[in-house]
Amino acid sequence: MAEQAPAKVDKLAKLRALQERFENELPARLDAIEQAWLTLKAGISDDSDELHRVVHSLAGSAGTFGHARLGVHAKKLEQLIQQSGGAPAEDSTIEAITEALLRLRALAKEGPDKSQAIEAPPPDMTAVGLERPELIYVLEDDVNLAADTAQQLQLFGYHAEVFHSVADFETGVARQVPDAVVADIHLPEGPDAGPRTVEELRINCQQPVPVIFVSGHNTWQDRLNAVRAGGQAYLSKPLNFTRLLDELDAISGTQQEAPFRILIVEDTVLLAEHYAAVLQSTGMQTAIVNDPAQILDVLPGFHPDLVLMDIYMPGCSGIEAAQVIRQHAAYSNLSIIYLSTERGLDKQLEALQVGGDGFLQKPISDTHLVEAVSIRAKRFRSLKALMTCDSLTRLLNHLNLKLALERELSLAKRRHGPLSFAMIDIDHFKSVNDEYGHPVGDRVIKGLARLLTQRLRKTDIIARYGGEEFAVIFPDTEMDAAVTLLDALREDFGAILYSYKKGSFTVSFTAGVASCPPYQDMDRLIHLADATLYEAKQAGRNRIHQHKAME
Amino acid sequence: MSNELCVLYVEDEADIREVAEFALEDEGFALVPCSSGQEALDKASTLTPDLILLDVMMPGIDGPSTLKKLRELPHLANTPVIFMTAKVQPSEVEQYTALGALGVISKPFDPMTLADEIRSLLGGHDG
Repeated sequence: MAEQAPAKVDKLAKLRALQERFENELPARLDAIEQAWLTLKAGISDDSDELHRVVHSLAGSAGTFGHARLGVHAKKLEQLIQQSGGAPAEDSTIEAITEALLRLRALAKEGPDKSQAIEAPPPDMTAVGLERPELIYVLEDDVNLAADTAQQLQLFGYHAEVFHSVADFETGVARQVPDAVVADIHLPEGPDAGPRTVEELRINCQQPVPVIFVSGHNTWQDRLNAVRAGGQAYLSKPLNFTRLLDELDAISGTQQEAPFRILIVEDTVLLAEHYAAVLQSTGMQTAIVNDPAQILDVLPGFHPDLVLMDIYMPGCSGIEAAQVIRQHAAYSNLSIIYLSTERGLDKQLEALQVGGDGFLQKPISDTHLVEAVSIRAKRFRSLKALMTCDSLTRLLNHLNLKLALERELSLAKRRHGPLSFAMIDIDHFKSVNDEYGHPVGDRVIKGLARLLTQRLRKTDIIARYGGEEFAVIFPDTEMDAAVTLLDALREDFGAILYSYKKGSFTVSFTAGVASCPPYQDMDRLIHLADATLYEAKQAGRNRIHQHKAME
Repeated sequence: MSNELCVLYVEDEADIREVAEFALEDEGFALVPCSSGQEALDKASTLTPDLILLDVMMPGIDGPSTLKKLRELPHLANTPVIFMTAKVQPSEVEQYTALGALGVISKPFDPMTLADEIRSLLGGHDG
């Protein structure tokens, strides 16, 4: 059995690679399905075989690549196509098929199923965002508590595995070393079996595995044992899941911060690529624009911490480009650093007056470039966080949500693409505060913030709109897809257990969604989402309503 | 352990074929992959597999038709066959077993357990 372990890990890695390829090819496959369907619907062809074949193949393969839900919906679509046999006649069938296609698009965007076992062994890809511990082992002999813990962790996108005995846990570790461990101190194997097991794990593993201890006996000896075994934290029972998640966050917090994102605007391709390579070699992420006219297309998707701007470019100078950027309120505090051979102090000052934040002299050594860029990016990032984020949740605040929405709407209009906007409100929040106290209320707010941040896509923009109200911008997303995403979150949010002194409770949320098109005006979009939210509240809460455009 | 089972594997989807290939390698199976029923027929004339693994729905000759043609070859008249398909309704399973299949593996299959699934279908048949 032991010999099988490396082979399994190897297989997971390979499977992961295949899964990625499947995901890369997915948009093209959906295009093909849509194309076949349009051809059929328009009467260009009455042969549904091609459509059937492409849908069937997706239905049969999606689940294998970690997209089980997509597979299920593809299968539903396949059945619809089979039932209609040939060119569809009835409007209801056409509508159902169109809807199913939209659902597939939405699911494809959502990415693989969270609970799928095809989680990568610690990924070394340069993922955006914090590196989080992914695989968590729960060593707990209380079967119910273990199951609850695993479920709560899974809601937040962790992959949790439960072990009820030390022997099982050791087998698990032999198979794969987890990224973090949550361990009970007292186990049937002994009053300090937890710490002893963990210590052994430490000795056997080259890499330190962070551990959080849990105990029902709040004694000095227990706490000491936890410390000696190198526990990151000690939580007493009844287990407060919010605390547990905070501790896991803290663990990931000790790891690296998200890489800096640098946009390089430089007309000389080779030079731009050289800067990019130098910055990337220190872990920064870069995007290159060789033609200043493309800056506005790149900015919204890339969200740079800093723009490195060449001054002399054909067509438009860097100074002019900076001014154009500054015309947009949303970018008024984006930092722009000029990079130029310009030595004249007057010219440099002129450049700074119209919107630059600094000046770097070309030619610049690689180490100087890295230092200069990272120092500035760091400072701008922390300043920006102070200016734009809500202090409790670290989400965007009200004002900056509006700036972001304005920016995303203008982008959607230019691309002729969709955008959806949701207002979310925690149900009966006042009574949570009244009944359990404000600190518990804050935990609920943080819980929703965490769920939204960890489960929505990188491109979605999340804000705390005020009090217990949140807002989400879904760029490039149709109404249906946004509703599907939110509804899954609604279900999971309702399953999160919040503990207080005497037990635990759950909370739900309600959301209203409005989309562009048809609504292109920001204030109107916000108003409609809010009105729809109100309507959903009236209808009984704990639901997602979508705004229906009047004909 | 050195006695690997030779499997004639017919599947039109390249990515699924690849997953199955690595799901079964190191598990005691040696796959002879074919991308169509026709390719399987061509290869089968010079091959004596221990097992035939057939996708049902394929362009060209589909799984059941491929099986019928394979059965016409004397050396394959009794080779165990397993179908793989996304639609598994009881009536269909019956239909396939009536064609002489050992069983049906439903798609999507889990690559981590595919080998076990095949082994359990082979179960009594192969000892």
